[in-house]
Amino acid sequence: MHIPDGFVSGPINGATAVLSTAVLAFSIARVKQELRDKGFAVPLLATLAAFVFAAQMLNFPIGGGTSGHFLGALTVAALLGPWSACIVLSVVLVIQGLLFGDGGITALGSNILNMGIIAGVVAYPIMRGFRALLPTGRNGYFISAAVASWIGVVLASAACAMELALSGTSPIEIAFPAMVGTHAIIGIGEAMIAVAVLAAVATARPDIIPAWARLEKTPQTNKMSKSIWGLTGAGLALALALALFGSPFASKAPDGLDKVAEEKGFIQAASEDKVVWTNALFPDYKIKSIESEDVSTSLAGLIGTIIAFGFGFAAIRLTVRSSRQQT
Amino acid sequence: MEHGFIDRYSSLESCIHRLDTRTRILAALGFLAVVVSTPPWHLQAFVIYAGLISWITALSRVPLRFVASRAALVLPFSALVALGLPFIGGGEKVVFFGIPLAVNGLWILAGAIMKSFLGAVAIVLLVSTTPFGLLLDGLRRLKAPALFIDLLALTYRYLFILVDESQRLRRAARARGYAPRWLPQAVVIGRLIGNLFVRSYRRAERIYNAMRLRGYDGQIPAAQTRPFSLSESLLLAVIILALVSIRIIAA
Repeated sequence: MHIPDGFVSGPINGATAVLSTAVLAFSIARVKQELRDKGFAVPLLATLAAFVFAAQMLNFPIGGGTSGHFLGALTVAALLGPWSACIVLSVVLVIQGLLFGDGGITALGSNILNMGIIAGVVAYPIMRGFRALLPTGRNGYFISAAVASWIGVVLASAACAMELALSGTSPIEIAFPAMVGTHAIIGIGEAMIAVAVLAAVATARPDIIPAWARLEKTPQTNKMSKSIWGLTGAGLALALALALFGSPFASKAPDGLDKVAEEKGFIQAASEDKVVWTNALFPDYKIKSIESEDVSTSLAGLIGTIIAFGFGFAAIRLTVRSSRQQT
Repeated sequence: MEHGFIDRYSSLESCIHRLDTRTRILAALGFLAVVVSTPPWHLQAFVIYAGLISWITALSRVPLRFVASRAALVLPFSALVALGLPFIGGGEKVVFFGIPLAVNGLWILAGAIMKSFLGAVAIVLLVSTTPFGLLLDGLRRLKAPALFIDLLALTYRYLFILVDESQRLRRAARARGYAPRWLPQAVVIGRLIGNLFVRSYRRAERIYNAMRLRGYDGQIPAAQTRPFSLSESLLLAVIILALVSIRIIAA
């Protein structure tokens, strides 16, 4: 998933570099805050960056003579928090780019965005969501880490395919299925390794896992609100996964209303020349500029789900707020 | 893991090695930016870039073969991503040995290969003319965040030790008959990595204690800053100017 120099176009390089730099700067500021009372952070993060580098060299088989390797973003996020994970992965990527020719220097922004930010910072709240949703205890913790690892790797590969496609290097109808397909399998290995690492740490050094002590000792106060957030996170993750992977398989037949309209003849009323809103964002759930039907449907579904969630959330917030003011 | 190979030639004596680290870093970044932004069909520009970087390599006395073979490591990835391009996509076609190839796809493929290779050459040359510690010092003086530089330095310090440790773990597993063939067998790799994590964490604790004993208070002292000399800035300006003019004239 390491993109070399020359594969990503200037605008995409610029955009991802700005985004990655901003998140990395924020991560450094956050970790520095913690550093004031804990100088341990510098040697710890550095050693763990070396650990991630070494762990990435241990290839695992994925069948047919090919192999994949561990990414580690979510595992580090689970143990040290998402901001530390972002820094650790960035350090690893800079060293790989400078010393080992693994990933280009101009593509560093994209690589940090995919492997540090998306696989770590974005996947971490998904893990929190599942943890709050699943029963507390060892198994709930491990399952949520496994699921979030898988989602993180797959989302990172999808982002990588998007960057290559938007740069015109690789057409999306090839890059997207190839990247996401292989990483859906590599992600299983990632999930297995994440669980094995967390299990080893839980056995040998349970004090390292910040959530562990809280999980097993303190009584669950504020459990209600936590589980609501968890439910929200898990539901959203599920919806996104469904939109991303399920939508191309959705029935191609017209849905109920369309069918009725066709039969009753009022479909003409909605035919293209009379539709007022011809500039719909995704006519027929497809993005115009993208050729492949499946990918276009997937992306439209993904973006649509996020927008729908945003509108729903905003609507409920406003309703709740106004009803509160009345009482 | 033998790590001498990475910056093996960084302590040679040459006019390139004697430059200020910042000049080399900025020149390499300028080269990268110009190469990456050149459209692939300006072939003459890429020939000039290749000539320029070979000339600088010769000046630095780093063997050209070493630089080229290290940089060639990026090519398999480039090929993997872009090799399919000529076979798909529409537009103009050329027939080559009876196979129709898309001209557009061929250009993208050629561009990706040339750019990733030349970019890798520039980075290999930068690393081969600058010991890693000095490279970090240069980045620090170019105002990279101190915390990030400290992390890079310490990571580099312990990288090879942990890679060795991971290789020992893998060798031990192999000696016990571990020869994985399919995905479920990756569990063993997971256990190795879990073991490696616990060892790394313990090592980090020992390192921290040792650092504290030597007076570490959350900040690693940096070397004295030397001002960027006038001649260096002039040289850098000339290099950037030359690169930009090649880019414009060739286009």
